Amino acid sequence: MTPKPPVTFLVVDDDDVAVMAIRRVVKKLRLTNPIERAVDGRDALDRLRDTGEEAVGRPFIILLDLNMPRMNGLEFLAELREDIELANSVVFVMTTSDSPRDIAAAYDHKIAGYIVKESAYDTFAAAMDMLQTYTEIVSFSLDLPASSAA
Amino acid sequence: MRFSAESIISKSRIYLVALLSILFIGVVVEWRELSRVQTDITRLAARATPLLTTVADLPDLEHELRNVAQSIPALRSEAELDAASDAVASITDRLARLVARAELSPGLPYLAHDLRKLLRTQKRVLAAEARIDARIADARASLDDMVRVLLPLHDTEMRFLLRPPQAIVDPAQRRARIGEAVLVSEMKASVTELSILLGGFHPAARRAGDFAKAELLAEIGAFATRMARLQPGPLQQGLARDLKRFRDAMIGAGGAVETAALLRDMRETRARAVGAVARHVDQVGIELGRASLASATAFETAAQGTADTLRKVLLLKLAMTLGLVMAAAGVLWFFIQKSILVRLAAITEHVRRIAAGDLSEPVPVTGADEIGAIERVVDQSRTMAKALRRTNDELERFSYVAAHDLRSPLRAVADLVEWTKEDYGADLPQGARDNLDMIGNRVRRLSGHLSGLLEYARIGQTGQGQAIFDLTAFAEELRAVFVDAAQFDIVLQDAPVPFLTRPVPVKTILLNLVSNAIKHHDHGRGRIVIACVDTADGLDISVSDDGPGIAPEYHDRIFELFQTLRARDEIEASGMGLALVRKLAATLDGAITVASDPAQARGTTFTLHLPRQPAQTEQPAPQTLDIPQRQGDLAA
Repeated sequence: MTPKPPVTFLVVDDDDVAVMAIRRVVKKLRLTNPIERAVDGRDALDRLRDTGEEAVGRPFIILLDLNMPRMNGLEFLAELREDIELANSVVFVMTTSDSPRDIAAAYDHKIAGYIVKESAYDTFAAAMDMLQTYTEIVSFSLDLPASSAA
Repeated sequence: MRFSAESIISKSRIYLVALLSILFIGVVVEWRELSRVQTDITRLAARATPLLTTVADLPDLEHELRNVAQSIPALRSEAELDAASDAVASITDRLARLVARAELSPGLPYLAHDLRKLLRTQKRVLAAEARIDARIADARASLDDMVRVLLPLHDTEMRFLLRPPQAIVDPAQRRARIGEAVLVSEMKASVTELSILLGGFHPAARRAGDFAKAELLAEIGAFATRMARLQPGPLQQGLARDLKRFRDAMIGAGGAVETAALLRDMRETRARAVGAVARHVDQVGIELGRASLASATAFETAAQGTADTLRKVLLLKLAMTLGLVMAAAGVLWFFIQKSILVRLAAITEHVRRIAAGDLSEPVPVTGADEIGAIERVVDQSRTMAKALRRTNDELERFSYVAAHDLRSPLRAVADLVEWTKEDYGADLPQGARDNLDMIGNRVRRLSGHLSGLLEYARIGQTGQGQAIFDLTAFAEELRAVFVDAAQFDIVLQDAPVPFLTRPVPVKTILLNLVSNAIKHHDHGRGRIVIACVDTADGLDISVSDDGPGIAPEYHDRIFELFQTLRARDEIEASGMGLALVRKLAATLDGAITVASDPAQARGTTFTLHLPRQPAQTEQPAPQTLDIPQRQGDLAA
């Protein structure tokens, strides 16, 4: 039995600081998950569909910002759920917007959670804690078909 | 005021004039008909009057006619006959006039003719009677003459026979004288018989003629036979002459017997004439009766005709009035329907749609009258509302976008400051660390402002559901929220009855007011009183504190965005709270007022006025037209 591959975090955000923040938290929590980054929705889709060098490591969890150039978060979600390969991806929205409109629109696309980047470190850390739990579920569920095939 | 030709008022004037014209024409027609009726009635009266006179005269006239006809046979003298003749002429005259007047044609000529014939017959009867009387007198005279001759002769003979027998010498002479005396006696007896017959003769007696004639003839024959036995001589001749006179008077041509027979015929003729007159009078009576009946029928017909005409006039008037009223009502209804109701309904529909938020459909202007003006104004307000909504939408979009777009870099700045302090804090001099702290502090303040702005922009988008709000329970919640500020007593005055409202904005307002009262208190401890008063037009919920108070000159400014009365560094306040409160109060159709004057006393009272809830209507509150309706109502 091969060791479980760690869950990759795909951060979709145009702000470098946001990515830095995630890296810091991950580091602080001593997680070893690889972190990959896409600058906007279009870039994220390209990377997810790519099977070559740039392919995103499976399994993965998407951490999605809403306000982005080219393709924003909601547009990305819409296209993601249309794609047969990617439709079941686990997505967390991490954004500064606490607008009920945005929250409702995001949940319409079957997201796993909505995290407001409002409070500083504490909330963020708690959110990452929650993410942690999720990563285990994601990797476990991915494990099942692999083991049955083996 | 001036109205255009199309205005409702000038239109209604035209309608009024038209209606009055119809009314006038109707009255004229009715007047004409009534005049005709009056003429008819006058004519009827003119015809009826003579008819009624005739009917009144008729019995009198008939009675007189009958009387005259009855009396004529009893008339005896020429004078009486003349008088009767005059009366007959007068009566026939009257009758003729009457008949002419009543337009009748009974057998009047026959009646007059019969009456004249009756008079003539009566004259002849009188003449005949006179003749008979004369003849009988003549006969009586001749009988008298005979008696005058025979009586002395009879006396002589009787005296001769009564003489003593010795005086009679010759028996032959004596026998002759006896025979002579018997003859004279017999003749005397014959005369007596004739006298009796004459006395018994009555010209009126039926069958008198033939019977009397036969008896007279027999007696005259007997007398002549006896007379023939007389010695011829002057005596015999005288007697014969008298007898002839008697005979001629009685049964000769034109004698009493013959005249009596004629008289009988005349009397029969007269009786027939009387009968004819009576029949004619009867007939005239019947005719007149029939005529008067016919006249009465004619009168009745005419009266009936007049009544019919009157009824027709009445019906005409009724129909006219009814038609007029119906026409007026119809015209009025059509007018109201077309020019008011239909258009009002359309306007109402438009206004309802505008109130419901649908501003897309323009309001058509359907006329140049008052309603057209309303339509124009409604469309103007629709256009204005549309512009206002667009502006509001843009404003909201702007504040939303701005807040989010500003927030992300701000977040990053805060993170970077934090990381700098975490990673290099130990290496930095104290001044740099203080500066980093102040940067972090200002970033938080800016973040707070942005949150406030967002919240302000979002008012009216959520939390519109109505529910029962229990202030007592909410006061407990407030105490729990401000549990850190334990030095402050939050007191609820009385125990207000739970009421129906939109709880989310009400709660937000109260939360803000209590938070303000605590935040701005200068002693750090105090008493906050929440009260709820039921007023005539709604509810007044007040939050009073015993803080420093707000000077009246700032009462307006405190409700504006980002206005604070103290330095930011002194107290962490965004300046959003009361602006938010005022906007929320406006979404509740309510108002927020402040009462405070530090010059008089400490403390501030904010009062939220909520209008009385209309019957629960599920009207969504207008999202964009949040214009505060009332300011004022300053509670003490």
